[in-house]
Amino acid sequence: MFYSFIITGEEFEVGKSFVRNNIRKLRFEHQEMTQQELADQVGVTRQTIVAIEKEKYSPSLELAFRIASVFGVPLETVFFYEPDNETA
Amino acid sequence: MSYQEKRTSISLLSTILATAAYGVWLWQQYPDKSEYSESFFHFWGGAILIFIAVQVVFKLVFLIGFIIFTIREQDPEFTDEFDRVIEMKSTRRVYDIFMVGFVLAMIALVLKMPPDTMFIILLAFMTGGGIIGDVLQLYYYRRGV
Repeated sequence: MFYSFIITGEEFEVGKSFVRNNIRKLRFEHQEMTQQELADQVGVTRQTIVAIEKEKYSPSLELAFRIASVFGVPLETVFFYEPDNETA
Repeated sequence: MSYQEKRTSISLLSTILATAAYGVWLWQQYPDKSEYSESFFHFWGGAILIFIAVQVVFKLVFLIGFIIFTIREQDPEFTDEFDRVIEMKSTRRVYDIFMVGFVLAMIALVLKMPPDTMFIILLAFMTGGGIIGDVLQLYYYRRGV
């Protein structure tokens, strides 16, 4: 545990997700669904939807599928991977 | 500030207040440093156990107060995967910090420093770890994970 704290410095790079999403656009297209409504339907808090929308948190695969299911679209329509040019 | 951030702030506040209140009380009870008898170790053993109990009581009282004051808020009180990831990451840091403190406490013993140095290091890192854990949670809620 202590060694991993020293070695894995990348863990401190918080908020650097390369998973992008179209949740905001999809909410708008679905009768301007609110974040709270989406949160209720997928079983998380509104704070979590906010974090996902702002790309501060990459959801678990299960939650990603649940979000896609609410919008009735394939997973890749909601989420897509887009690494920075520097790291690609 | 979100519900989760408020909850974490309350937890942080309770840790700081419990530590301050208990620290003042402990300072007044501190035994004579000139001798390290059995009662000295008995004092420190009790001090650490009481400190854990005081922290738990403070945290419970503050969190119950927080729930009562925020009962009309819309935000739900359950924890989801985002909360769990944040809690897991911050808890890991708390353990790391405590581990560093434990190693330093052992080094203090090896260097033949007074026994109270070891206990003070343990207590300081235990409290510091808790405070940093809460601060990290706030940071992760703001910056993301």
